[in-house]
Amino acid sequence: CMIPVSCGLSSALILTMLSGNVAMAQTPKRALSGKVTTGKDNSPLPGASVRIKGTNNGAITDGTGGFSLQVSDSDSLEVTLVGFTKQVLSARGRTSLTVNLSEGSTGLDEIVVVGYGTEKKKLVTGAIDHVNTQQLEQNHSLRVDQALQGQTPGVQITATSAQPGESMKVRIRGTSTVGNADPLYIVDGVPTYDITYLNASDIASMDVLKDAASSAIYGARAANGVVLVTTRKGRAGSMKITYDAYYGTQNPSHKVALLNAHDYGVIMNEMAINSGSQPYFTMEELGRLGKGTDWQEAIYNKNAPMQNHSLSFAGGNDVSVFSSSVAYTEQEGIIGVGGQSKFDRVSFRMNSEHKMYKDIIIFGENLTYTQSRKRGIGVGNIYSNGIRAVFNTSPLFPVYDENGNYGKPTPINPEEANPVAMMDYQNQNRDRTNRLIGNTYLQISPIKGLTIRTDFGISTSNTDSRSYLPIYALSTNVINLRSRATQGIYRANEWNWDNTINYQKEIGKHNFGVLVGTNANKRVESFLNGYKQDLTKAGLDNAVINNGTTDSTQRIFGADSTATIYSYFGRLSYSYADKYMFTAVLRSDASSRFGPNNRRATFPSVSVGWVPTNEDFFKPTWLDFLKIRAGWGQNGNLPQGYFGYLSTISTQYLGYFFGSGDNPFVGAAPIRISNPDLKWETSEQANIGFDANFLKDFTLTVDVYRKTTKDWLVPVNVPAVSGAANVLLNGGNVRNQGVEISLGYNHTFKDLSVGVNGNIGINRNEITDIPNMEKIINGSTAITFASMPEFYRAQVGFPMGYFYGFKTAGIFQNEQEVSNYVSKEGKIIQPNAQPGDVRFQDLNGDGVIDSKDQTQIGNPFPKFTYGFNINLGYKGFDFSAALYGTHGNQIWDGTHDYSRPLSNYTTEILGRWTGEGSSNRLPRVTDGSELNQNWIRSSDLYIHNASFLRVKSLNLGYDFKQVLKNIPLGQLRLYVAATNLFTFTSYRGVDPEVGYGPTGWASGIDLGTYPQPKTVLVGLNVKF
Amino acid sequence: CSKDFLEHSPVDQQTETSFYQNPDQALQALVAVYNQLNIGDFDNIHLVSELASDNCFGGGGTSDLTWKQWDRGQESSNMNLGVWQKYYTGIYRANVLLSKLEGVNWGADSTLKNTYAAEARFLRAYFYFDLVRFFGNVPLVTKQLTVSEYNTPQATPADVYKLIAEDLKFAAERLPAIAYAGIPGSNYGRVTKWAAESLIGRVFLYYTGYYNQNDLAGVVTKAQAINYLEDVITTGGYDLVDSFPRLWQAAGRSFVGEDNKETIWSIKFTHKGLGNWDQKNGNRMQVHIGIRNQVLNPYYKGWGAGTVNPRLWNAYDGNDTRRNASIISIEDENLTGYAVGDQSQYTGYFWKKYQPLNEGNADSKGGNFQIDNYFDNIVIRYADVLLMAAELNLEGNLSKAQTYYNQVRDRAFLGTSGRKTLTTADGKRLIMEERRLELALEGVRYWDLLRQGMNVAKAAIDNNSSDPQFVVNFRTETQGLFKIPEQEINLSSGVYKQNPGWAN
Repeated sequence: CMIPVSCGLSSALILTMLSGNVAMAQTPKRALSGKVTTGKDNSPLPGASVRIKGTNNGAITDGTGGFSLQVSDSDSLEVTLVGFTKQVLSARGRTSLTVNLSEGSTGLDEIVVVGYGTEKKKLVTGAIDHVNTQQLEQNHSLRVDQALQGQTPGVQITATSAQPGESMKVRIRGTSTVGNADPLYIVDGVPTYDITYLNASDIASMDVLKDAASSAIYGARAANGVVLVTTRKGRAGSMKITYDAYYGTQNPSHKVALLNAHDYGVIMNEMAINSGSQPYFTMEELGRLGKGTDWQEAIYNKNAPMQNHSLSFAGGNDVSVFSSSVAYTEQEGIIGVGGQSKFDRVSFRMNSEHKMYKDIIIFGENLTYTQSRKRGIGVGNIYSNGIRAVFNTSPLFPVYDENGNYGKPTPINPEEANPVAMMDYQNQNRDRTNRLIGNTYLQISPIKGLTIRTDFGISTSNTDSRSYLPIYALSTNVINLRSRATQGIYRANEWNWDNTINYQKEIGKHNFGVLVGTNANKRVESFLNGYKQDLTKAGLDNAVINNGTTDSTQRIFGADSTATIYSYFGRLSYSYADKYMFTAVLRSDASSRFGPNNRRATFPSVSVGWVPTNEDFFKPTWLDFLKIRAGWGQNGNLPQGYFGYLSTISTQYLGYFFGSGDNPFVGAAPIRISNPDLKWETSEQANIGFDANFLKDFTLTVDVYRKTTKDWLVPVNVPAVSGAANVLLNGGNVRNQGVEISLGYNHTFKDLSVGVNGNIGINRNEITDIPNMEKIINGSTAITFASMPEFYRAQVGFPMGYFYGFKTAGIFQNEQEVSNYVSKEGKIIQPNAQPGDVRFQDLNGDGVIDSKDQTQIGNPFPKFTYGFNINLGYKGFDFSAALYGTHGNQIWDGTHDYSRPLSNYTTEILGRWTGEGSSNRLPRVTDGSELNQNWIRSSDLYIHNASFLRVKSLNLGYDFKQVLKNIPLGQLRLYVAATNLFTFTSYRGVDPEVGYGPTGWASGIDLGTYPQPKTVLVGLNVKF
Repeated sequence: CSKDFLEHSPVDQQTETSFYQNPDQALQALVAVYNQLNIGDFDNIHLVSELASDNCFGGGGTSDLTWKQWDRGQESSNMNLGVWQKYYTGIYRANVLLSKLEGVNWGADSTLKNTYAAEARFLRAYFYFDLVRFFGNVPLVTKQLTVSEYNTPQATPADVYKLIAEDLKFAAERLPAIAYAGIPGSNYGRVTKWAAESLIGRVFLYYTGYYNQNDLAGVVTKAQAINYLEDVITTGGYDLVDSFPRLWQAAGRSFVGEDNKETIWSIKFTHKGLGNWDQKNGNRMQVHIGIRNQVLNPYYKGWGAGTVNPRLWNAYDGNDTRRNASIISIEDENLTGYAVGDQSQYTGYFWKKYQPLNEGNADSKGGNFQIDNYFDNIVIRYADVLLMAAELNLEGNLSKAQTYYNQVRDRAFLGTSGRKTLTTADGKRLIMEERRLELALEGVRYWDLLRQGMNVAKAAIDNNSSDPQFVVNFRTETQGLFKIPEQEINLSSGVYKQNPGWAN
């Protein structure tokens, strides 16, 4: 099995044989009738081929899945349908039978999408993971990208924010560039950057091309892997109506333990005394503080509803097939006041295919249109992060005062603002996005084996956004004196045109395939936005620019950029007797993003496969199938910028205001040093692996890879005398190497079907070159608060975005320890330290603590990620569970604002140093002025273990068709499901899954994460 | 077809080859050089040098380190990168413009080319002067570099000062001698002949003092320096504003206005960025020195950096109008609502010069108080020219020196009651003290100390206190030079050498 994951999940193969009259007579021919249905829901499968093995006699199932044949007892029946597992059954003693075919099964005839074509899984020579519809459906309470998590080894999916409507960070085989590291998505042949618009139940299959050999066919944009998505198609002869719905509620799974008012008072007093100032509270006042405000409670949207309804129609005849759907999905976020975090989407899909002339001329299209609306609270950096404020605001003042207005801070800290009010006032926004993506194609097959196809696709996305900023005064610094309306439009229009010629020829046991093609692609992006102040009418509904009254403060911004790609590609494949396979791919791409010197680049790949189990000499009884694969190839990655090769003269933000009246003058200067030699970022990858089926029920896939991405397009620091802060250069290598293992077990015990799959992906990321003298790309400072120095960077010899800082060695317990902490020369290393301060390690032994003592203190990348999936079926019951975990990665806990001494703490601070022997980890609490700089240095005090294991989903369903056999439905399944019910982790933050990083190559930095909800839902699947 | 399909050009930008064709484009290129004057955040030279001097402590919040590091001469990794980058970006833009001037189609108007060249060279000199006095040993770049030239080693200070002197001389000679009254209001902020001549005086005094030289790098003699300054005094049309407090927005209700007759050259700031963090045309220094996190009328708010050393407050005579116009005393002004909060190194004194005001604050104008403060930063005012002229005339023309000195002092005391007599022996000390009081918090003091020698600087800057947060120990081994950013040294392949007294 190519993809044990999918095998594991989809093995709910239930073969039921209804034995008829046992006919002992050796009559040569008799009638046999039967029905072919899907294993999953017993719905009829029209168009399946039922053939007497070794003959050309057979039948095709009709619209109800039925067939009838003349058989004799010695016949074997072969039941096949593209996309389903082949079944071979003996006809002996049967007059009728029902065959349940399983989709995406362990069957080696399963079809895998390989890019500009399909291939039988058993012949594939690359590392491709096929994720079929059933896996997605079982987790369909999740979004498409979430549902992929833990399904395929080597694909790490992390939430940067679990806010409804936000996309996940998907990394295939590690982060391989400091530029855009997202995979390429191809939906029905159309390239796109984002698949969150897709409705899970519209997806027929997903194939993840992980290695270079398989993704090389998409050369130019495939360096980060390719995810091929195929939406559902209709089938001839049947009319299927399906209704899927669920409704559920979501809740936070974990609350951070913050100090209550009394404990806050105690800590603040101690902080003041330790820093040489007067305590804030008398003992008596402390006694009166009580619990105070629980800000977390105030921002949670308890029992936040989510629901989904999807109605689909599929069917067709021998000329035309179609599959259409309409779906609505709605999700409220678990954080946010007044419905501020919310997402809904309406989607329509229309796929159809028509035979214009027999099987010779085929025409079809796939179209999906969605309209989604999104409202969200600020997540991300410290200036916009609304969740972080909740952790740092003192519990001393109420959410609302006695008049029902937002509570104001106490005189103790007039600087702090009511975080609920901030969330309310600063997040008055909404987006509406219309997306149309689809393709239309014409396919001509004039002679057997030859297919000529032209495929034109579009992907367009238009977003209207609006926001409203009211007048408010919440604290000294959190004020807004003038109301403002902001309005914006963003558009991305892309077309994609593929033309291919595909020829397959079988000569004896030799199988040849040739594909040649061209691809042209154009993407135009534009935006227009602006704002105006002093509105005549308040409120988000009125947030349009014309509502503003003050022309002098009106601003407007807009831009438009175009990029084009033109490519040629070809693939040669050869196999002999299903034993030896060879594939070679060559793709040549040219992109407008490069200058004429290096506009075009060529990306080759080769791969081979060998199936020892098809050799005569290799017939171990326990081993049913073994294929060994090896591949090598190169892919490209495009820069995100448009004219990196040109020295362009900018007029943006280079002006000056002369004169007593501030007369604006336009300024213009080169903003970049030209680099006409700018060229493609190349990812080179070697992969060796095998797929095995053994002991009938087991599948095992193992892949070992090494992927080197070189010639990054990296804005590197150059000496300032050059006149540029940085230059876009080619250079820099990163190596990702790892092992992926996937083990599956599927068996049917009479009525009980069992599918179990476990997978693990181990990856090591190391930068091997950066093209400047320093060999460093610096991280930013002031990420967690204004005076925080750099704590992550990209550097040769280390993983990308590794955590950088001082190692600590406990707490100085007394003066003696301070004076005993000396260098070899006897110099006191931290002369300014006081008891209770942090002991930093003097790594270079020079007797002082300075930047030369900083080193790697953490890694945001897991040593491995793993998934575990179980599927059980028993009569009408089905049960599934999906687990996902990461191990060996670290989080930088940047949620506490150490630049504001009056910030609230978590209860962890109660374990601080208070005197000799009290703590050897957490220093005494101070206002940050201590000369030892306990928290104002980047150190391992901030590092936390981020390993976790999460029960992502549990589903239990029952198909009432089992007991209500007479209802006119193919299926009536009711189910309950829960997501994120349990998370096992030592991380005390709100969610251990922290994808955030200030740049794409950094991650694992927790500034206040929008956590994944714990969801419980009930659902219904009805098939007519 | 494929070629056309793949060829695009930016829709909103010219390319270097298509630009610099006409005078309008040359002006835009010149404006971009000016633009770099607005850049600077924590690390602008005016604020940093005040922190490093005896005028101010670091201040800010208790956990804010950067300001205190400059105050105490402490290290931090990569410090001063912003300063280094700011000036080399400005120098680059000036060099680009200067190299393109020949290719511009100037038509009949030949003066414009000279004017632009003069302004660009003045700005280049201004940038280099800040760089070289800040870092001491800096690469000298006068053209656009190719990649192989990026590792240009540091030049000797004499070579850098030679370029500065030549550039300023060029500007002084080529710019028209239009007296203050004749300069159109819309041109305020543009470089003038007078600005160039005044800056020559400042550079002369610094270079000859700090490096103990007789002339300015062989380009400007002392006599010439005096002539330049006296040309400003006699023909520049500038004068002292009648009352010192009227010079400063925050010092009273009768602010005389920006670009007044005392302003020889200022860096123009505006609130018109309107909260856009990309724009950077606001005066960032103001939010740094603003009273921390509270609005005490008539002042607005800021981060509380550069708390004023009480020694400066105490240095003023009680009748000196400059004390209360330069410094806010929380106690004297009876600002009873003041809360220390997490203000560190609180002294009771804040800057009054450049203190943002509540009335007309940036927020109320539709901007953001963090980035849209808009008081112009006065680089050189007439009082400075008078004091420089007095200093240079001490040996040659004591009475002239006394006259200039009296003008400044009389204005401060609203009459002659504060007069002191200059002598050849003691004149320098008196003038330096006068500069301390007159130009307090204007980014002059630190350099005035350095040019008197390390001993003088150390005696003034060292601060002993029983409270460890106020202890400052000037490290003479640094020669008062700041740390060259580590990143730049690394990127130079080690060609740049770090200044003495700084690690890495």
